[in-house]
Amino acid sequence: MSEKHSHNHAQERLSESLSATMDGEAGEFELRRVLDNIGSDEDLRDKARRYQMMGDALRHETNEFMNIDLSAGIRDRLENEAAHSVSEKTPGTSRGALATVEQWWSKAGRVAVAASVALAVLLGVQNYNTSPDSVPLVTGVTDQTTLLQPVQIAQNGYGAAGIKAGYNSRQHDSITPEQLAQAQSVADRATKERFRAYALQHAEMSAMNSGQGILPFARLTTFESQ
Amino acid sequence: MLLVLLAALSGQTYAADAASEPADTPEKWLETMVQATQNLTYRGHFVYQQGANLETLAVTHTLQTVNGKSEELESIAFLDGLPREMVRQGSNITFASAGREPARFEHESLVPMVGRFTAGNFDQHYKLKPAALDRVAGREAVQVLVVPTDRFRYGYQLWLDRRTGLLLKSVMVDNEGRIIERMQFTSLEFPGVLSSEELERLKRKLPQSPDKNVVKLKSDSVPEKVEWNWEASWVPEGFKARGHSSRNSAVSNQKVDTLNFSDGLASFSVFVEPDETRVLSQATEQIGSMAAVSKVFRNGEKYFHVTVLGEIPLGTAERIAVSVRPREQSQQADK
Repeated sequence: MSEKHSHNHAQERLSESLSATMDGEAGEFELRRVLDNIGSDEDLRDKARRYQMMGDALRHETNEFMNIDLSAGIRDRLENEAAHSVSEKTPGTSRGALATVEQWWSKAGRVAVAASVALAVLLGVQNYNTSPDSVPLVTGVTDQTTLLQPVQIAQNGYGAAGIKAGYNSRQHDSITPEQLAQAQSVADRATKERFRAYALQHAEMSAMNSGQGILPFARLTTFESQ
Repeated sequence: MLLVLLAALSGQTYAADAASEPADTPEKWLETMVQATQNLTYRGHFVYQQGANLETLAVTHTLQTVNGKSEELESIAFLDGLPREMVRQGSNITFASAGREPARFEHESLVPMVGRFTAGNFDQHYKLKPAALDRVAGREAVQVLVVPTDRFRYGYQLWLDRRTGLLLKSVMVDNEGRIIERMQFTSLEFPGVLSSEELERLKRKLPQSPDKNVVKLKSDSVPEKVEWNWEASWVPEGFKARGHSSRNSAVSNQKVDTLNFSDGLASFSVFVEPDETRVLSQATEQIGSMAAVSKVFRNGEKYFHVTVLGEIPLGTAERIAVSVRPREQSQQADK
């Protein structure tokens, strides 16, 4: 599957579609093609990963609360990358700033590779009330969230389930339900991974701080998958 | 079993003697529980039930003296499913899980948990009631009911070993009285001294994880001085920040800021992680006693995930999560 010589042409088209997708410029057909293939195509995933890495590296100016900034330069880089990655067999990008990113990818690749092809779908994003006359936050945001609003809870399931759309969904207008579902599943996996990692850290800190002895670590089972 | 008991009694060191002082109030029993957990030498098996999940675990615990200071050595291993083990060596904790890189934590300082229940205002948030004697894992147990005074926390029913104060069984109940978590020893020994094999295992050199997985945790309570630009503007009364850290995220190359809060029994952690994946989603999860709420916030052009996770009711977690806000909006004057 990793040999692409046999279907070079199709692969090239896929690469183009991928590039467009990463750039947020894919038409619906292109997007479908990428989404349909990304799951089974090792090369394509690899490429997506490198594109995303470049984007990450370019955007990686600062760590704290950093801007989501898709600068115009990214597209040029992606085009160059797309051009030579067609002829390039192994990723040669594990140098310099990208090396650290790559390390991270090898760890969380599963989640993040998929994330890289999904669109920028923002589900129920909450804006801070930035008005200077500082309304208490809880009341300031309840129009958009949910103190009292019933939410979907995976009562007995394992792993995380995102709250589905239909909930502050104005940003979804241009996206088909399938794409939304795809993005949702990516987000769910990221959430699951995040919950797991967080649970570990919570267990550790609680072990030191809550006086419950062995219980914090026993609780780790909650967000362990499989 | 009697033999084990006798052995346990004769084998105990100072700590056990201190712990076996008859505690006369439920508060003192809880203090004894904390001391016993940290100071005694024991090995045993226990079951843990969370939601529909039932797990068997093994624990081995002892103290060793290093340079005149005593340090905890402890292993807690999951016996079912994927092999997972936590090893505590003094202030280092390593969590190893099959197929994943081990995570290592280092505490810079440890806050002794003395006076957790007898001092402060623990009694404003929980009412303690002694209950009948019982028997757990073949040992006599003292029951303590821990009833929350508000709806922001859960209630507990605790069974403490009558001899040592060690927690033998714990049941957590929600405010409608439903059992949401259960822990119970099925066998427990106080051998006095662990076998040399056990000690060797506890002291073994653990796989070094790459730097990125070592987390320095600070247990000194300095929440006000934390240099992050966010804060939880509402937490239930009685919960105090007990520790904080900043580590690499599991799903991105961002730093995750963490603050851990405890009211003495329950605890939760608040995580704030800038998002760059552009796939943002809110999630809410409750499994047994554990609630996790993840929200996406936008501050200008910046997106970040706020997650609250802990053994608190879901509504409490929700409320805490939505109270997290950038610091500059409310406390710029402080800086």
